Amino acid sequence: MSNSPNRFRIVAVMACALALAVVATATEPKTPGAQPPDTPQASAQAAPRAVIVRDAQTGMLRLATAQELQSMAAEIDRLLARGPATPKQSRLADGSMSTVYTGNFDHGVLARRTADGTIEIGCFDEPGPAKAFLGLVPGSPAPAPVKGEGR
Amino acid sequence: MTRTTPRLVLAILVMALVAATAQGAATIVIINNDPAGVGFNDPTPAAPVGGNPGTTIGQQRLNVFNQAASIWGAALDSTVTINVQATWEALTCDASSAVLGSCGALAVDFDFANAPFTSTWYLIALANRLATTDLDPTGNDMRARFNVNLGSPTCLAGSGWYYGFDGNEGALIDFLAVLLHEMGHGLGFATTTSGTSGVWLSDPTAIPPIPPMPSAYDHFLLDGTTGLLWSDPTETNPQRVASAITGVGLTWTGANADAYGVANMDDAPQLVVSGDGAANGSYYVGTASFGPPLSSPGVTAMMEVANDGTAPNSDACTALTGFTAGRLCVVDRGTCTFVIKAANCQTAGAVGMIVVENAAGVPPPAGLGGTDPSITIPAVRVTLSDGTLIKANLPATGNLSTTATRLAGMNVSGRMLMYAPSPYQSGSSVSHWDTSASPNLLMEPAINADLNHTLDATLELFRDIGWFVPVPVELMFLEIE
Repeated sequence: MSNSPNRFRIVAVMACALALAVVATATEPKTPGAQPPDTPQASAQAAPRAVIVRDAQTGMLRLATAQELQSMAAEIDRLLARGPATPKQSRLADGSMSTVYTGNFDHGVLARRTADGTIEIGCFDEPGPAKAFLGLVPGSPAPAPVKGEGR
Repeated sequence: MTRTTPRLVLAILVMALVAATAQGAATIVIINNDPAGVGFNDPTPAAPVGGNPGTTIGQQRLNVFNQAASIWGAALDSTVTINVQATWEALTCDASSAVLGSCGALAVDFDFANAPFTSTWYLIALANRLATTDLDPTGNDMRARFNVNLGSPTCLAGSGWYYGFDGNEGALIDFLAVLLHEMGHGLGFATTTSGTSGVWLSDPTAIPPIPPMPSAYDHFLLDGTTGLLWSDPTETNPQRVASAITGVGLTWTGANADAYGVANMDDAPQLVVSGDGAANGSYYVGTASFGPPLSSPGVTAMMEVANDGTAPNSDACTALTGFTAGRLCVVDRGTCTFVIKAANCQTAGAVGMIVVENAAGVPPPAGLGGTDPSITIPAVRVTLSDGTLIKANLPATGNLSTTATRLAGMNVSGRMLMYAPSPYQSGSSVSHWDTSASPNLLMEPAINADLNHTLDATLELFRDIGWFVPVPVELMFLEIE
């Protein structure tokens, strides 16, 4: 017989008091000259970017082949491509069943060297902008989610 | 045998409640999923660096993960352990760019116990916290994958990871800053709604199908054009898409993050135009990384379009001809760097430079990058549409200054701006603060070099989405012999 203290637990369920944000619906006054979004067109944030690789056999820098570009793009898709949520059931400690929904909710962080040698780092949650940032979209200018490019 | 007195029981009750609602802490566990000799287990010797005491590359990597977990864990509040499965992998690289890594939640849930919003997706770590139980006991909560080859000759050579904790990364990449940012997404700074389609996340394969639902984050995203939140069922998918490219038109409505912004953000930079034309007023501007910062009352002068005599004449890429000294130099973007334009304007006697963007976009415009310590005049960028309007209404006076009536990274209504550039391709929209924020914030899309490993406005956004709301606690009464 144990001499340890008797223990008993009481689970107290307390209601949550939630303060929900009051949503103001006033719209933003526009500054003079601030226009509605322009028709989307090619970004001129930066020129199309060449993808340079160091050849594994020769050690020399060269343009990436189409196959290499395709492989890089496929990996971006693997990391960031979204899909529907998928149910996953588990039994909880109290014996009840729980369903959560799995999926790809990753954000990817990418880096590239600029013309002046500095490194730009950007974070992306969809494959398209990420691939464009790395120059993997033929003919697409490379966007720059940065404070300001050099030119 | 004795029992605790009612008074003592009451004290325990009160203490338990306080601990659950105010004290706050969470345990974040890093699960090393690397095989032997790789990643976290890399035995390559390394000298301790910047406060990181690890003596192998693998130890230092794990120490940075644990440091990030410690920072987030100390700030958050959860009784449920947050498990992060982490690996180092050979991710995409080339000589001048790389995928540094990725991180995010592994699952989401809705309508669990204590969920503040019904029919709303919550990332699993927050869902667990609110439900006060692990809703996915067989799964981890977040996944983190980072590039094991960074800095090698074939992978952004010379720009590898910096594993110190002190922010002295130099030419390397501050891994702690990157990790804090990416973990921020996995913990809640993210929408599950597509910014490119506006479609809410759903599960059409479930029986019965789970309909499209907004995320907790969407309950605080305000479309300034429609006046509707992203979580509003009357906000259409096309309206969400449109709001994601409106620049200053997508804002955060959470009271805590907005209050943080009001208390901490700098006065906003602006160009004020005054004259006889239709261009009079205050404009959003992007500031320069070179030259003096804008101030109040700032620099006021007549504006004049630059002419360098070489087509295109107004890009100021060569010495200006006939420019009137003492004026603000209006130049077009393109052909050469911003510092070259500024140097040519300065040499011609300009007292400031206004760069007109050369592609369509929405305010606030990006800044001007570059370095040149010889530049002594302030410089800004305006959008193409704003610049075109201004040029069409010269002569006019311009004032480059800061204004206390609006704060950097916020709109005039005191709401934090979310990153919503046009076109959407310009970056990772919506799930970041706008890049016009000053001082720089952890959750901007660019991970800026001056971040100091603090959680700034992000923690307040987390307060808005529910990380600190009171939840039921399990109380223990002790019977003492």
